[in-house]
Parts: sequence; C-alpha cells; structure tokens
Amino acid sequence: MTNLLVLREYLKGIYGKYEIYITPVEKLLLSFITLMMINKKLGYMSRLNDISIVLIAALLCSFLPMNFMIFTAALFILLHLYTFSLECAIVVLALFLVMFLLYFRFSSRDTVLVLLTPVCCTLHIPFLMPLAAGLTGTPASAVSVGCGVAVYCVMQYVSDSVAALNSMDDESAMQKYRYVVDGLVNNKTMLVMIVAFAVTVLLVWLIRRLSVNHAWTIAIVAGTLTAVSVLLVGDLMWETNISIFPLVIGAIISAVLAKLLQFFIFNVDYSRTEYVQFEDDEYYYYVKAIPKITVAKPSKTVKKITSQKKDVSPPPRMTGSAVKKSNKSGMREV
Amino acid sequence: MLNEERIKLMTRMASYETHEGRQNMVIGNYFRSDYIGLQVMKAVISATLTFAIVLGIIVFYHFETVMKEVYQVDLLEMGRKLLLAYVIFTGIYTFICYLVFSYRYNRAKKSLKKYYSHLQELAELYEDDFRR
Repeated sequence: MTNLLVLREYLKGIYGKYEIYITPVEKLLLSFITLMMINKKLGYMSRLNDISIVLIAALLCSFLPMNFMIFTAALFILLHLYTFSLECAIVVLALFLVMFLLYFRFSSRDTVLVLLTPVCCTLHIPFLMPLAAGLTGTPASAVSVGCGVAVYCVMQYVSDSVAALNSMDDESAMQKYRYVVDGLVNNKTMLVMIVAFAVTVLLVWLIRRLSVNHAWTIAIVAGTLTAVSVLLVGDLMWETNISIFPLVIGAIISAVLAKLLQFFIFNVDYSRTEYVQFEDDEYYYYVKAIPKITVAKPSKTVKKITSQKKDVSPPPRMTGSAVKKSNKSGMREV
Repeated sequence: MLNEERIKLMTRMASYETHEGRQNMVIGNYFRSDYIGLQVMKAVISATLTFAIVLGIIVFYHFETVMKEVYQVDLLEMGRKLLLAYVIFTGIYTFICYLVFSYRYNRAKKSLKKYYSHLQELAELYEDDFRR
C-alpha cells in the first residue's frame, strides 16, 4: 500500500511538473482513439479512414478546446453516414442538433463524458463513465452520459442495419428514412441503457456525498449493482438482447477502475476519523474530520565518496581513459 | 523581500482567474436581470429551433399522409394544437434554464465577492510592506 501511495505522489509530481505537455498529449490520444473508433464502427468514407487524416484531426484537437473534439467527432460521424445514406445523415444531424441546442449550450464542461461514454461502451466497460461521473461530477452529468449513450447506440444501430438499408432501392428514400427513424425511436436498448446510466450517476452522486464511512466504495458497489440490475430488468421487460456474461465482466472491470480513480482523488484513512463539536455566535457545529492518507515523496540523496590520498608525492601521469576510470571508481551514487 | 503570505494569496487568485474565475467574471459584468434575461432569450430561441427540427422530422416521416389530408383537416385546429405544444415545450425548457442560470449567477457573484475580498487583502499586505 505504501508503495502505491509513493507511486501516486510520484505521478502527481510528474503531472504537476509537466502538465503543460501532458494535457495536449492526453487530448491527442483521446481524440485519436475516438476518431479511430468512429472509423472502425462506420468507416464508409474511405478518405476519412486514412490514418494521416485522423492524425491531423487529432493534432488539431490536442491544442484546441474540448468542444472542438466533439465537433470533429460529430463531423466524422456525419460524413461517414452521408457517404452511406443521406437519410441516415439527416436523422443523425437532427439528433445532434437537438442535443446541442437543448443541453450542451449550458453544460460545456461535461463534453468529455459524451466522448468517453461511447469509447468505454466500445471497450466493453460501459459502467465506468456513469460511476466516474457520479464520483466526480454533478447530477447534471447524468444528461451528458445519456447523450454519450445515445451517440453510441446510434452508431451501433447504423452499423447493425447496413444490410437492411443496402437491400432497399435508391429510389425508396422515404422508406429508408422511416426505417432509420423507427429504429432510433423504438430502440429499447438505447432507452434502457440511458435510464440505467442516469440512475447510476444519480445514485453514486447521492451516496458518495453521505457522511458514512467508506461512502465512495459503497457508492461504487451500489452503482454497479444498480446499473446491472436495471439493464437486466430492462432486458426481461423489452427483450433488449443484452448478453449477461460480458455485462457482468464489464461491470466488475468498471468497478475496479472506478476504485482506482477513487484511490487517486479520494483516499482517506477512516481509522483516524475524528468527531469534533464547537459553536460560534450563530451555529453549533458537529464536524466529522477524516484525515487524507499521504506519504512524503522519498527524496534521493547523492553521497560522494572519494578515495583519500595516502602519500603526498604527486601521482604518476595517466592517459585520458585511465583518468576517467579512476574518477569513476572513486564515486558512488546512493 | 519575498512575502510568503502574499505569494500564496496571489497564486490562489491567479489559479482562480485562469479556471472558474474567467467565466464568473463574464457573468459578473451583467446585472442579474440582464444576465438571466439574455439566457432566457437564448433558451427560447433554442427551444424554438428544437421544436422546428422535431416537427420537421415528424412531418417528413408522415409526408405522404400529410400531403393526402392537408385539404381535409381543420388547419385552424391543427395550428392551435401545435401552438399549445410549442408553448408547453418552450415554457418547460425556459423555466429549467431560468432556474439553472439564476443558480449560476448567484454562485458566480458569491465567488467573485470572495475574490474581491482577497484582492483587498492583497492590497492591505502591499500597504503594510510599503509602511515598513
């Protein structure tokens, strides 16, 4: 445990020291992964599948604001859909516009959740984002996570319906349009996932704010169980075809990762909890104080040990390499 | 000479200015009624556009039926129903925006008040240094 705490301090130190470089690299990686995921899932426009285009877009995203990343991802999705089917592109554009107009106008900070939720769903650790949002965000994060789920489900639906849409004639544009709208409006899996994730965010947020001991751990466990339960109940009610085994494995991995997140941002020692009580002119205070677990970063000291000169006579002349060797043997790093 | 207390205060203030302070300062430039009024106006525009998009999707979905029955339906009654739906939708969305932005304005003002008290504290520290 001490080693882990020391590692945490090291990582904090490194992040603090090189934040100016680490943040763009993080953004570069996130945008690269997101765009690659979009290309893998949809990938109908061959030009966008070119790795150099993805790298250029990711580089642009790395030094521009986070909202530009959302814009780029949305543009990639729409261009792929436009190449595949104009009707799909229109419906998805309408969905994106509604999301932008109704929600993102007043919640620009949560944009990272909208990007990360589809990425986590693709990596089969879908519950990580609702747990993380509940632990670090506000109840409004439930809407951001919901929007992320909607984006993922739209991509999933389109990639699943390729065969059906291709079998329709080019002339039956109206039929294609109806098929896409029906598929999105009656997408029970999307609805169940949005409800499960929103409930998880709210529950985790509520529990982690309680003053009970181990509130964060309880919140993670309760959130994971709730998410799995809601998805299973939804599956029973509407036959959403959710496979249980990957769901449970994904839930366990998500919970472990959420616990890791807790280690970095909320690591306290409940065994040293103190209850103090005091008053001022207006209030009585009943305070519960829990100390944070901190470890001092070990500092390296360098000792220089030089060989003592025994005789006073001048040393014999040595060649360059011999001098180097002699100096090296006379010094030791601790 | 370096004053540790002053440096700490200045660091905290600089951090505030670069992060949440930037947004709060923009909000702080408005009177409460002006800020909330502007946000409510934006909310009405957003709600109107959203309503138009959703309506467009629905009309396009039932395009054939609409074209067939456009001369048979009571357009006045239809218009009245649409207007009612629009008013309800816009009203609910605008009310939510009103609550959110009122809360944000109050929070920003409180936070700016604290920031200005730090500024005052800093000025006093400078004055003390000057006297010495």
